[in-house]
Amino acid sequence: MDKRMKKKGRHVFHVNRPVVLAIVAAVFAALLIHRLYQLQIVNGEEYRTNFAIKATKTRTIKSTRGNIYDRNGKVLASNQLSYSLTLEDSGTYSSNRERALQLNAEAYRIDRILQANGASLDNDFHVVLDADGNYTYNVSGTSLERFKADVYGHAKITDLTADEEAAGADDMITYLCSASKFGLVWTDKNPYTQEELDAAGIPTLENLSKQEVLDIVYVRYSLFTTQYRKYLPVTIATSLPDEAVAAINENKSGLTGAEIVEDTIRVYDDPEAFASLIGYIGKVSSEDLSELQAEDSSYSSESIVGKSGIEKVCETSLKGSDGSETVYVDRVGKVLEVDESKTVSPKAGNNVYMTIDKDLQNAAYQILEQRIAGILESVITDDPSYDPSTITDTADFRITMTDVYQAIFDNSVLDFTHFTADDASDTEKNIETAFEEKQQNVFAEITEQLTGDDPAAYEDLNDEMKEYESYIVNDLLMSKTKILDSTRIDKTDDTYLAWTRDETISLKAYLTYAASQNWINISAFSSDSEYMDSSEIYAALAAYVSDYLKDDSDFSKLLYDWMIENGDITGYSIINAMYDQGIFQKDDGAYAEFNAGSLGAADFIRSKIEDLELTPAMLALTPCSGSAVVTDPTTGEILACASYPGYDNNRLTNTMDVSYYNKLAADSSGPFYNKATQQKTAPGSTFKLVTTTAGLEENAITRDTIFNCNGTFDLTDTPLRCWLKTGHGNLNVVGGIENSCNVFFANVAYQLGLTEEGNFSDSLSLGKLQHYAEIYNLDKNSGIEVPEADPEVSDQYAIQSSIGQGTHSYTTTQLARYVTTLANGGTSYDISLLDKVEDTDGNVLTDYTPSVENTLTISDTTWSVIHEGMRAVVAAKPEYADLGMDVSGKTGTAQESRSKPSHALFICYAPSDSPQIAIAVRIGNGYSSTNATLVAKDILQYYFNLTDSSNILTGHAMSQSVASENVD
Amino acid sequence: MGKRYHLRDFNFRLVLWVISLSSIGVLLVGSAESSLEMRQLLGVIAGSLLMFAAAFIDYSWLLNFYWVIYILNLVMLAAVLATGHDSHGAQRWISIGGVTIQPAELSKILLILFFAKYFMVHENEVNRPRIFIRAVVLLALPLVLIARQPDLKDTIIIFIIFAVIYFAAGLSMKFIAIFLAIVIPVAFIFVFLVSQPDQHLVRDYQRQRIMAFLHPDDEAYSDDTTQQDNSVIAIGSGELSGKGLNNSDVISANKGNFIAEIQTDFIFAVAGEELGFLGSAGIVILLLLITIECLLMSGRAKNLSGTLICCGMAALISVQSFINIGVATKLLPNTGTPLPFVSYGLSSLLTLFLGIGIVLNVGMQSKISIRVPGTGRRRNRREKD
Repeated sequence: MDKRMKKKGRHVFHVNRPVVLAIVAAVFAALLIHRLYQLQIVNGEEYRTNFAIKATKTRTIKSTRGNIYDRNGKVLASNQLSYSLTLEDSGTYSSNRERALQLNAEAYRIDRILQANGASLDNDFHVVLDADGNYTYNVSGTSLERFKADVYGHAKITDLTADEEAAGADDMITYLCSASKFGLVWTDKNPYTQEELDAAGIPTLENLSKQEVLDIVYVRYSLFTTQYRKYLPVTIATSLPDEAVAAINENKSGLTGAEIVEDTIRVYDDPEAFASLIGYIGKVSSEDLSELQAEDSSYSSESIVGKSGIEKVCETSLKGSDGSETVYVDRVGKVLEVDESKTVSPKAGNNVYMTIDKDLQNAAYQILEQRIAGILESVITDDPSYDPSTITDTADFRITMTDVYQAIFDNSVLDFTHFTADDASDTEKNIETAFEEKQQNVFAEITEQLTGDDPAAYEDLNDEMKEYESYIVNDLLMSKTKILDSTRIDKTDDTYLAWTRDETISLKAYLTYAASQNWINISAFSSDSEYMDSSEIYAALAAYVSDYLKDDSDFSKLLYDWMIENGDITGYSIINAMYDQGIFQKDDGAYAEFNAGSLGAADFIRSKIEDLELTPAMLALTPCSGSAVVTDPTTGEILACASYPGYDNNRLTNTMDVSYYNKLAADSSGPFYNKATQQKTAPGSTFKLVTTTAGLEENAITRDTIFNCNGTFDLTDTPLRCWLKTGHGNLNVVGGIENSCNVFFANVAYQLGLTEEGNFSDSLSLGKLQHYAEIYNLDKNSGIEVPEADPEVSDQYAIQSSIGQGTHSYTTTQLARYVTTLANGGTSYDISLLDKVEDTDGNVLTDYTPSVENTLTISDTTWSVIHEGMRAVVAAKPEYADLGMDVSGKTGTAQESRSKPSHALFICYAPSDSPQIAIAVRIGNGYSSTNATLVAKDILQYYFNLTDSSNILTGHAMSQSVASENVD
Repeated sequence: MGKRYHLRDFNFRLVLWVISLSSIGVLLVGSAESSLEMRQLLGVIAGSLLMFAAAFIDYSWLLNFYWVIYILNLVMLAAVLATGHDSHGAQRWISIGGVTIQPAELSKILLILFFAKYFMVHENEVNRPRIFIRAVVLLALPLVLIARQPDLKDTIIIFIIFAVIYFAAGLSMKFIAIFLAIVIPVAFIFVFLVSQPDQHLVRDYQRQRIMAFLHPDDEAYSDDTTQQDNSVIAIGSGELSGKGLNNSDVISANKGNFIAEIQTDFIFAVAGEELGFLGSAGIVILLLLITIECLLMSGRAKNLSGTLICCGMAALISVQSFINIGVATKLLPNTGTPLPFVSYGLSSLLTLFLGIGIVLNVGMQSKISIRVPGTGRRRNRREKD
């Protein structure tokens, strides 16, 4: 190539280079246009649709739950309009710093406004202030880890870093206050200026109280939980008083996104009397959810549903259907517009009418309390000669003042955690000082027993130490901490038996042996167990035990019990501490008298029980509970079904009061345990009407058959004594019922069991008794809609079974069905609580009528014997003499324990000639059936208006009752 | 200075494309954030005035000060590192007399001018290793300063502009081949190294974005692709003709703030959503027309420096456009670069108008009129000075 050519070639290339570039640019442009074609023309519609879905959200408009009414239309459960404060993160801010500052200031302002107007934020954040004003978690274990994962923004607990897992409440608050989180402080390099803070209206972090910091963090955290669903407002305060609502509305211009919304809270009338029937509502459990979803797919894990009682039974009727509204949202879910055309209005739930008579239920509950208090009052003794170990008849059991004082601690009537509080009274502080001294001594002794060289064998210990050591092994090491693993223990091991059965070895010897046998789970109390020999393990265990017991409230109660027993704490200081804690009011007159010495401790306690300031439920002594079920025998409807003690279901509904729930769950009087539908006892003599039916229908006896009662029935191997030791003499069947003669009915059972050869067959007799129990449907649940324990018809000991002992066991409701059948002469209803379901417009959707389980086909003669007998029972009762109405009934005193008083039972109906109501009453460990008849009498007087209700519902213990009267 | 220019040499077509595009930009910015519409309009007016002014400044005279320009650029970039504003984790702004500017934008124009002159001075030596090495060193100095802001994408853009200028200056195919043989493997190694978790080549947020692009389904990087995903949805949902500017459609990525900073780096999402395929493809074509117009003018420049200025500007506009639209349509990893003449932002707008002004001046000094009527072909003669 010559030079010219070369030059030209280069030149040509020069000229073409911009063209090359232009081609490249055109290719790139074509690439982009192709991409746009793909996006907009080919897939455009799909993007548009998906985008619409992404930007359209629906939010729920809550429906209201249906009301629950009594048979007369009186409200039992309803919804009260309440105002809640919701917050939507709807502000726009120029920077994160500005956003943090403004939102924190707003939270602070809201907090201040609420505080000033008697309201507060609904703090369900799990960091709280402890008694000393320090941050602390109020959850532990998995709940705490879950909470930490939420706070630190992890989907899974396992994603928590070691630091996060170890973070204390202080660390968490510091983290949440930092600029990267809620920015209560900004960076060190660039802190908020005073001008900025003043303009926003919030003090510096140092000038905020810890409570204020917590409140601000709570509000910010609530918003944070919906950071990608900003169309969902978060509720930060509920049940606001009117002043707070007004104050928030007045200041609304300064509160971006804050809104007062109408809400409803569930309200129960007369909660204590009705809680056992109505139940309460709360967030659905996962088990219930799957069941409910099968019926109604609109249930979600956030649904608030009935948790027990009628609220649960009628859940699907009471539940309304939620409405919805369609909103268009932006990238962060902030609402841009509500599409009114797509709004679906919520539909309120249906109203449920119960067969219960509200007034009667209330009266029955109050009567139970008054009567049980009356029994309690009468059995409290301060007789120093009373010695329970010498008592042979359970009717002679008495409650000593020591029992009362111990009960005051055991059932947490006195809050002994308050003894260490700053505002504890001198009396409280003195008790605490004595307690701490006692604790030290006991721990020293326990330590001596655990680590000393010469520990005593269990049998050589005094009662007090025995109880402590038993507590350490059975409660602390086994059930509470599982350090002593019962599954590993060889129950036939000699050393084990020496400890448990023979009591011949010391606690130290037992635990040392247990450690050597690997029965002890060392990792539970020591982290470096691998390097320890058995004596070191043992020393660590001993230290752990003392340490654990220090804060163990059950052990503290045990110590208090022994302090009371030993006289280390006087009744005088206990009663004064009760005044200091506001359990009694000092201006009650009794306070002055008691402190002046003119009112003794026992009299004082009795007077407080008399005034129901100290209720049977509070003390949880024996007796402390009872139940009464009233039915209409013509329809099988339940008019009242009272269980004492009750609880305040308002405190478990809406936002659950966890401390109240825990207190109830631990309460020895068992408020969650429905005494009418769950508690089962032997029916006692109330069963004798079944035996009567069996005897007459099986022709084992006739109306005129006479048996002689000399006080003992001895035709079988185990003689049966009549309650009247001297015997009733000759009785026919009506007389047998009237006198509740055990010997008479034992003879009936004997006759029922006679074979053709004339020999007594227990199983033959029992089979017949069972058959007649079954025709009364005593082998079935009563029909009541709330959960009920299953009955047990006795399957052993025909003779005992004939008088209602044996293995018979029924609930009060099952006895109520029985007496309903007796009253109406043979129609056995499935007794029912439900009357009807109406929609909000008053249209009846379902009308419930108790179904008839069966109609008894027994002879008129039998009925007339039963009715005559039952009439005679009540006619002979002096306390019914002036009632002004003929009542028929049957008493029962069922003994199930040698160490506790008998149960008091009574079934009856009235008026005798055309029964309008039937009643079953039971007072667990209520000493004598008379106490139950008195409850029934009060209910009858109330129901039939036989006397002014103020004479019945006195608000005082009704102490007409007699404890040890020997009747059945 | 003081030259006489013929109005017929003034490239009105280029001005028409630029003004059209900027006007669309004003409308889009206004739709994205109405409060900024007036400022953008003022920016366009100021930019236009600047463009006309620059069009009448003799670029050859200006290039006499090419070393001054180079030093000035370095000083400005150093000043950013020393005093610049901290924004989004990078220092890219400085204040001069109360006006905040982004020197990297101006830097691109200054470097185009410098290298245009530099390669003309060494026109016959461009393929000498000495000149090549010197050029690379001269590029490296400002690039390091920009890279340290840190500003990865402007580093890359300037590098590409440099490569285009060098290419247009007549870099031999041999060098190009060697260059490609080095750059392509290096690029791969770079991506590989960046993918390693403990790398120190780029900042974490840069790596995050690259990784997000490389692994679109990996949850760990999803935050960085959310922006782009929303942009793609917005553009796609515009379909053929769009939802209209300032529409009242509630389902709108623009109105719903689905894309942060939509008026700057993601303005194309507004275009796609509101103007549809017709509008957004129109913008691409306008940008292509501006690029081609610059390249056409480069061919008619009186000297090499004029050619190189035009090629540099063409490269600047097309590369930035491609990156911006590529990001908005998720062809490229997320990096914030303004769309020339459209995005909100004075620094970018003014420097681009300034650049176009200089290109116009190059055009007015070409020896041959733009188009010889009737001949259908363009003439090209180069004046030596």
